Amino acid sequence: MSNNIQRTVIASALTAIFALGGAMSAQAAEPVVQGPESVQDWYKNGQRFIHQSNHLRAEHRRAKNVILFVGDGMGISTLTAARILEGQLNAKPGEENRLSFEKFPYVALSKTYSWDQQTSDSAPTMTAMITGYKAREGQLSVNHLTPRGECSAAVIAANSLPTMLEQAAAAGKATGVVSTARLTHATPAATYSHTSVRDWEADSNIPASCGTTGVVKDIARQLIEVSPVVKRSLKVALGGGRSYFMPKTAFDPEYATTKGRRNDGRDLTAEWVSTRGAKAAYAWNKAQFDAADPASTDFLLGLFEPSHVQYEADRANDPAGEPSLSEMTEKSIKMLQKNRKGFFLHVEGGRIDHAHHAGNANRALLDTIELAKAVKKAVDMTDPEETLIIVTADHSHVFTIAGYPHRGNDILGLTKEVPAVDGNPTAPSKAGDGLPYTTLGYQNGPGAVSGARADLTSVDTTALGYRQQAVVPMGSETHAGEDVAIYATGPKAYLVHGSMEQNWIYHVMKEAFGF
Amino acid sequence: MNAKKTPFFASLLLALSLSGHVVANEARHDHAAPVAKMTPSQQVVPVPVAARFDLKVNQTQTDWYLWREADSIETASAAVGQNDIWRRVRGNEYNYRRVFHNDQRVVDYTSGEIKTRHAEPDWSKLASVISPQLLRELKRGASKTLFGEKAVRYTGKLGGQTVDLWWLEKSQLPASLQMARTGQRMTLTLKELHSTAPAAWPRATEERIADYGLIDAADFGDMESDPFVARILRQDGHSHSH
Repeated sequence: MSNNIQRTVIASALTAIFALGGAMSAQAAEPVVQGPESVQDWYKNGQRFIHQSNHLRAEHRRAKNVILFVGDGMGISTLTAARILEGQLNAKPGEENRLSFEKFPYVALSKTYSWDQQTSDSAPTMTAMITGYKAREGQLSVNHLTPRGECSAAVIAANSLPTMLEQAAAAGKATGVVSTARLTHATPAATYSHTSVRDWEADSNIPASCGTTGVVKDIARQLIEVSPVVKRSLKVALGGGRSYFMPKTAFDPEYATTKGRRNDGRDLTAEWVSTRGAKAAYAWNKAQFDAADPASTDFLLGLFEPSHVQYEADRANDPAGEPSLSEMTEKSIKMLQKNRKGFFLHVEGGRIDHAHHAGNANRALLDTIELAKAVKKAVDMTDPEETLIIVTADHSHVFTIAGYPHRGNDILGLTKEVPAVDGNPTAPSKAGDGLPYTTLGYQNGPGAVSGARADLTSVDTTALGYRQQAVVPMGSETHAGEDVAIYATGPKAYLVHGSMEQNWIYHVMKEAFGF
Repeated sequence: MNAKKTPFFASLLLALSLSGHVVANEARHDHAAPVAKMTPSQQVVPVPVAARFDLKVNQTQTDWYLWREADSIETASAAVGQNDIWRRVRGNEYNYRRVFHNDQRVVDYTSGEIKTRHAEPDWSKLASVISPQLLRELKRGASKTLFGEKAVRYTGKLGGQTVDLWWLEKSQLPASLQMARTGQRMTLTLKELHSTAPAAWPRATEERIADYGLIDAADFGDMESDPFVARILRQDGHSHSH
């Protein structure tokens, strides 16, 4: 019996009972808001969960492969809202939906503070996840003893922390980095570079006061000039940040007026190809990306924008075309799977964070949904008995789901509660100022209200570019300090449990690999 | 300033780049409200020009420059030391660059970033300093020849402000504009009009800004400890009203 039929039967029966009693006619009206589930559905699902949980078998064997997905700024409220939005995009109420990785068997909470920050930026958080140590604000894969703004390559080398990517490379595994942010941006950069300042992405970003000799390499250069073992291992690097690899004298191939950012005159994209053999390739647009055959390409560098790649919502409008995060993930796994010893892959959904900073929830959620699609792609392409997949975030944002919206209420819309009387229609709930409000909002950011709040009654808050209202006025919405979630499946995934320090994620991966 | 009640004055003041104008300006729109744009039949494609204006707001005077090309519009405020460059990259896709000479910093807004900030420009307003659509709300008067072309006088009130405009029909630019309201008076006077700009004008050429630090506005959230970024964020954030 279908859910709808069951529900109709039950409703009819209840109506009949009330009719016989000749009482409570007002309450007998059908609720305007109804979930699609039957009473039996809830109970059976609970029993099914217990049954499955009782048969959950901890996978103790070593992992051949590890994939670490990081949603930059993907706090728990973002996951909840994205889950609902994804469901609603599929014409469902949404709340019952699960993002692909929410079906993973093991979940924990990650404490994201860094060595010196209560609420962290992406540099020390990714350093924690990829090296096993908490670190300082703005520093990438160096220890907490590293002075701020340290220029000396020797000092950086002495304080460098080996990353999971480097250790996987040393173990003979293939490695890869994928991001929708610049490849030189903090999260992906922490996997392969070591520096005291995350902003030193090109040599032009390093201050003149550092001098010219013995200076730590900029991050883009570090990607190209990795150690010999990492150079052999790092098969694929896909994301944005093209201008950081191009000389200032060169015009961008996609945007006629944009130039490179390198002072040293080097074209690092050409050096990637020239230093990695005949089967190395570089792609800057979708057609070139599609043309790169994993079977015949050993090393692939893809840089699809001068800076960050497009938001997923805008990707279709990109002049030269860009692959999606799930397409980049798929291509990467195909390339890395050629290595019989296994692989380590890091995939970042980097623009969730940027959309939140702009106070634009819709784009943040659509990028979160795309990350979930990329995770599903990875799950579909790998053997669960040999691949540990971890999905987490580096930090949260001051993003909230407010009020008492009814089931199926448009997650991007105005909050409408369950009517007080069954049969009555829903209507926007009113705040203390007598005005409606959106379910989604920010504690601070560019959407802050100066003076009286705008009346949103006739505003399309579901528009792609809508910026949710906020409380504290700030030009850029901020990160938040509460815990983020960790989801895991595969070998040693059971080690992800309870309340965890963020750096323990590295130790789970290390244990899974058996390093 | 109530932007909704005084669109003419606000748009002009903001378009004149007294501070980071367009982001602040467009941020005043209702969040989901589309930016008013002309229909194709209303649009007159302005000819490329380079113009120097004398801008006087109350007792403050400055040179203000406009370079208008087919798909780019650049302005420069001598007093503020800032250039603003809009580029139309495809259809309704725009890039925006703010050049802060005193700080030797450049901020780039990609098309995606402009959309997230709900700051898509009204191109006709950028190209003509004021939106030609607003002329319909003024009384058309006498005409004469200025700068070698027909200029038409428009007068009236907009949002409680008195407006006196001489409009160059071919160039789609004001030859002079006076606006006044209680406590504020602004005069904009065209001083030079060229098809090709004199080389000495303060354009933000690649050579001039080659050593400036370049920031993607999407990175502002990671750069709040940078004093320059913090200042820009305060400036933009505080100009935002709902």
